[in-house]
Amino acid sequence: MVNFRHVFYAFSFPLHLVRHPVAKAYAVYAMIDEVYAVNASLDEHERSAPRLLAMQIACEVYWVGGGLTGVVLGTALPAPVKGLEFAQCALFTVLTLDAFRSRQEILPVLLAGASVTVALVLTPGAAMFTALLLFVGLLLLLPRRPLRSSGGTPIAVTARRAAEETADA
Amino acid sequence: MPSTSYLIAVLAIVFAITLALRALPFAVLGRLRGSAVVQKLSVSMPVGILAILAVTALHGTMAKDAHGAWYALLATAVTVAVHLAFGRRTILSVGIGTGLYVVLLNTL
Repeated sequence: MVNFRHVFYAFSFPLHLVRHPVAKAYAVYAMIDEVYAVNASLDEHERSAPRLLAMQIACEVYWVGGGLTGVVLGTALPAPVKGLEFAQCALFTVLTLDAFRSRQEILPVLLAGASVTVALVLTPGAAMFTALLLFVGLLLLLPRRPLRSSGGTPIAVTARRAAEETADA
Repeated sequence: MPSTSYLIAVLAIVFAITLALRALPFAVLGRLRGSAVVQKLSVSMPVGILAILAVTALHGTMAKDAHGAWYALLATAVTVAVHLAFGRRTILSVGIGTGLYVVLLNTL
């Protein structure tokens, strides 16, 4: 249930940048929330395969290293520091702001806000799951708008990417 | 303490399952990637997904420590303010927001 969100990451994770099969497999394996989130806040032209993989390796090293440091520090401290988990909250908040700046689209934010509100009221136990489903459902229901070049992704980049992918297949 | 070979086997299985679960959507989407719907989703989804993660994370924090619910809201507002006011330095914004929450939660 919790891992369900990775289905949604696949829609907008720039896996097509990574060519080598082994690197591709690692990129999929190490597609954690933070990697997805930091990538989503990057502009199209700032993304590349080495950067993506370096970010993932750094995250994994940081995570494992942090875990080991935590074990050492945890045994040294008399009691755990309460409230440090707020860092995750703050990180996602900051990344939302950055993702909004790079796209400048208010509609998805409003739809996500509505989805998560409904989800928290109706299914508090599985709010993230319900909210993601609702959000994608709402996005799909929207009438299709023409691609605008003012929306952050220049139309030429989108078109070029689509062409590259057609060539791959 | 379980044997080393047992641990390695468990890790290998966990790795394989994680990889398969995460690769499956890509395998399905690979065929659809050129379509207008997937293009549109890939542009609009990230900010919404992040917003949902932010709200559910905040809700989780507020639910976990009910007496700190208002502190969490305040610390989120401060995080946003610091981020916008001081040039979007992620470490700074997250650090100040988290520090404030920890201090409020443990002292008040």
